[in-house]
Amino acid sequence: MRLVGWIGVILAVVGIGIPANSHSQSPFPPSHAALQHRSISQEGIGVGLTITPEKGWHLYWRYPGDSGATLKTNWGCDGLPPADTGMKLEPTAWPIPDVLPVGPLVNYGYAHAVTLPFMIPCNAALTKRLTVDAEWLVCKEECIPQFATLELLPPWNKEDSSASPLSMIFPSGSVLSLVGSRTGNVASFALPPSHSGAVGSARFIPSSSDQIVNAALQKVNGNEISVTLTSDSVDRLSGLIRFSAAEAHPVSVTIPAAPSSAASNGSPNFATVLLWAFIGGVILNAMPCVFPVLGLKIYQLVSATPAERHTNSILYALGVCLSMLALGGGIGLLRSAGVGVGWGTQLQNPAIVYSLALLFVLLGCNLLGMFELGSALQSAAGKVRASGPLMDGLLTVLVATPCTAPFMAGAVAVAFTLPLASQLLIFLFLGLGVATPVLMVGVVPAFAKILPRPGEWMDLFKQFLAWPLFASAVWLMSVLIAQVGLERANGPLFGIVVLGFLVWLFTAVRPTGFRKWAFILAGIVLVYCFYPAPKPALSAIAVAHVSYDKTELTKLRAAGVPVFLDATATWCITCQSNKKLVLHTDAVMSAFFEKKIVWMEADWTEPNEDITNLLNEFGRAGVPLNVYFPPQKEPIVFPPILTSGMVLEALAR
Amino acid sequence: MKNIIALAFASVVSMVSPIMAEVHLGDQVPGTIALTTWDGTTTNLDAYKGKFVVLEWYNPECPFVKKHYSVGNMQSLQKEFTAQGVVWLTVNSSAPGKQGSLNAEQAKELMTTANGAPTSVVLDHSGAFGKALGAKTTPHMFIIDKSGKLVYRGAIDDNDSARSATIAGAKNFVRAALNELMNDKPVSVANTDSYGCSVKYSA
Repeated sequence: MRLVGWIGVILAVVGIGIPANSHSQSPFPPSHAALQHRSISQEGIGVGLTITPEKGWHLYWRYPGDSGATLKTNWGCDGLPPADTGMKLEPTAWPIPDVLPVGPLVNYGYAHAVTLPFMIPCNAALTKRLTVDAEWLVCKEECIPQFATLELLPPWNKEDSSASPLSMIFPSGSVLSLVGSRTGNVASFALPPSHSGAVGSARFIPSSSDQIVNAALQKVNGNEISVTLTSDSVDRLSGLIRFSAAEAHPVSVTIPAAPSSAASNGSPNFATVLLWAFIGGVILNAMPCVFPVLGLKIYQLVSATPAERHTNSILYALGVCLSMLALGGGIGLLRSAGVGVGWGTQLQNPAIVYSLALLFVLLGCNLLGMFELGSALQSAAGKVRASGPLMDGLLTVLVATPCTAPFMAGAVAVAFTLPLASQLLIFLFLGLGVATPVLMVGVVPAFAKILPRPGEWMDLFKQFLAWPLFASAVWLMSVLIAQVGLERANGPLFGIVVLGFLVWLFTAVRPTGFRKWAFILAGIVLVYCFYPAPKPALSAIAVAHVSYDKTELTKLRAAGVPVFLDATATWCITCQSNKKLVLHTDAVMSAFFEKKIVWMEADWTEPNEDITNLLNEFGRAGVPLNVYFPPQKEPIVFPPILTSGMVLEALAR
Repeated sequence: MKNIIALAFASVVSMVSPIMAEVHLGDQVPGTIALTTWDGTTTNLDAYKGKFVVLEWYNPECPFVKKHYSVGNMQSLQKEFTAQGVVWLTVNSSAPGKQGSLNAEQAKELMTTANGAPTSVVLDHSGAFGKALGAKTTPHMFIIDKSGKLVYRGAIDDNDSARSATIAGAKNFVRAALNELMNDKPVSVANTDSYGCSVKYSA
C-alpha cells in the first residue's frame, strides 16, 4: 500500500505467475516488487528489495513458520544473467516479522510492505547493471508464488528518498543470552529487567522449526515468557523476542535438561499424583497470602466451643474443597472451550487484583476494630453460621492461588491435559490438603489442646493479623503496578486511601437502615472510579494499514490517490464494531481494492497529539472518525456509526 | 517452600503423558482414527500394519502441489513405490468450502486426469487426521514403518521453490527414505522442514 514508496523507482520487468485455475478471484498480482539503490561500500553494492503485498496478503519471514516459503533471490552483476553467476544471497537483515495465525497454524511474515537490504559483492566501479531473479510466496488464505526479474543501473551510491523507513524496522541490540527452565514440554525464561518495557505483548519467534509449537499460546507472566516446546529434546531456543512491530531483540535461550528426579521416576500411578497434590495443598497454608486467613481461622477456633469448632472446621474444609473444585473445573471447562486461561489467571486480571487488595484493606480495618461487620469473619465470638466458614474457605482458595501462580502456572497448564474427572480429583486433593490443618484442629480433640486458652491476648492477636493483610495488599498493589504501569496504578493507589476514608466516615456517621446500604453502595461505586482504564493489549497481527501521517496524506491527495481515513482506538467499541460489521466486510474491502484506496489508520489508542489535532480539525472530540478523501473532491465525513450502504455509496461518488 | 510445591507439580506433570496433537519421530502413529476414502470405504492406519505407508498431504489448487503434479513427479514416485508394495495414501484435509476441498468424485477425476497412482485418497474433511499427525503444509510427507511408527516427516525434497524446473536438481527425501527402509536401513534424513501452502483446516 505504500504507493509512494515504489512508484517511480521501478526499472523493473515484473513477471508474475498466477496458476491458471487458481481458487483466488484476484485478478491483480497480490504483491509488487521494486529494487532501490542504497549505498556502495568495500563489500559491494547495497540495494533494497521492496515487496508490497496488497491488503490482506502477506509475505514470509526468514523462517516462514508452519507453512509458506521464504524469499529466494539469485543475483547477477553486469551482463551476466543471474542463472549463470548463481549468487544466492540472503538479506543482510530481516525486518521484524508479524505473527500471522492461519487457522490452527501460525506463520511469520509481513502483512505490509517490507524492504529487504542486500549486499551484492560486485565491484561498483566495473558493474554497469545489476540483476536479480526473485521468487517469493504471497498468501492470503490461498497462496500465489510470484517471480520477478528486476534490474538496477548506476549510479550505485544514490540513496533513494522513496525508501520508507517504516518498512525497515529491524531487531535491535546484540543477542540476549538467557538461561531458561522447563516443566514438561513448557519452557520458561525471564527477560532482563532492562527489556521488560512492553513485556505484556512480548512473543518469542523462533528462527527455525523444531523449537516451539508455533500455534501454542505463549504465556507472559511478569517478565517471564513461557513457550511450548515441540519435544522434550529441545535444549536451545534461538530467535527473536518481539515486543511490537517496532521493537524486537535477538535472543538465545539455553534450556537445561529436566531434573533427573522427574525423568527417572518410572511410571508412578495416579495415586502418587494425588498424594503430591495433597502435600502441595498442606504446604499452601504457609504461603504469605494464606497465613492471615489461617490466623483468623485459628482466632475463631480458639474462642469457639468444641462443638462449634467441629462444625466450623468441617464447613471451612467444605468451602475450600468446593472452591477448589469450582476453580479447577471452571478453568478446565474454559480451556476445553479453547479459552486461554490457566492456574492463577485471576491474578492476571488487574480488576481482580485491585478487588483483592481492597478486600484485604477492608479486612485489616475490621481487624483493627475500626468497624464491625456482621460478616462471617466477625462471627468468631457469636454463633457459627454456615455461610461464614464456607466463605472463609472460598477466600483461602482465592488468595492462595495467585500466591503460587508464578511457580505453578506452567506446570498446571500441562496437568490440564488430563481428562476432566482426573483434573477435578487432583484439585479435590489439593483442597483437602489446604483444609487439613484447620480440620485437624477442629475435629481431633488432641490437636485442639495445642491451641492456647482464650484471653486478652486474642484481641491483640486479632489486631496483629491486620498487618500481614496490609502487607499482602501492598504486594497485590505492586502486582497491579507491574500490570498496568505506574501511571495507571495511581488511581487504584488513591482508591485505597479513599476506601480507608470511607471506612472512617462510616464509623463516624453510623448510618442505619436504608442509608447504611446507600452509603455502602455509593462507597463501592466511588472506590471503583479509581480503577484504571484498561490498557488495550497490542495485537500480534499487523494489518496492512498506512499509519496516519499528515504530510503523507497531503502528498497522496495531491497525487490524486483516494484515501480512507480511519481514526480509531482499541478501546473504542464503536470503532471495533464499525471495523467488524462494516469495514472488514467483503463488500467494502473489495470496493477498497477496486478503487485502489489507501487505508490510512490513525490509532488513538495511546495519546497522540497529531491525531488529537486531526480530530479537532473535523470537529470531533474523540474517535471514531472516518473520512473518505475522493480524488480531487471534497472529503466526505461519516457519522460515528457506519453502515455498509453509507460507505459504499460514498466510495462510489 | 514454593520450590517444593513447584517440584511437586513438576513431578505430577511428568507422570502424565501429555496428549499432544503431533506425532513425534519414532512414535506410534494413531492407528484407529477412521479414514474415509475416495471409494466410499472407511479404513484406518492399523489396517496397513506390516507394510510401509506413505502419507501425502494434498490440495490440488496449491501451487506447490501443482509444482510436483504438473510434471508428473509425485505420480512417478507413487508408481515407483506402490509397485513395490508400499501403501500410498494421498490425504485431502481441506475443509468443505475451503480451497482444494474434494469429494470422492472430484478426487477420482483429478487423479485420473493427472495419471496419479496412490493406493487411496483419504477425504479428511474434519481435519482430525491431519491435526493428529501434525500435517501443516501441502505437500507434507510422512512415512510409517511396518510396525506403525513414524520414520519420516517433512518435505518431499530439498528445494522449496514453486518452480517445477527445480525438481531435477533437488534431493528427493521421500525416495531416499523409502529406499533405505526397503533395504532394512534406518532413515538417515528423517526430519526435514516441509514447505508449501498451509493445510486449509476449518479452524
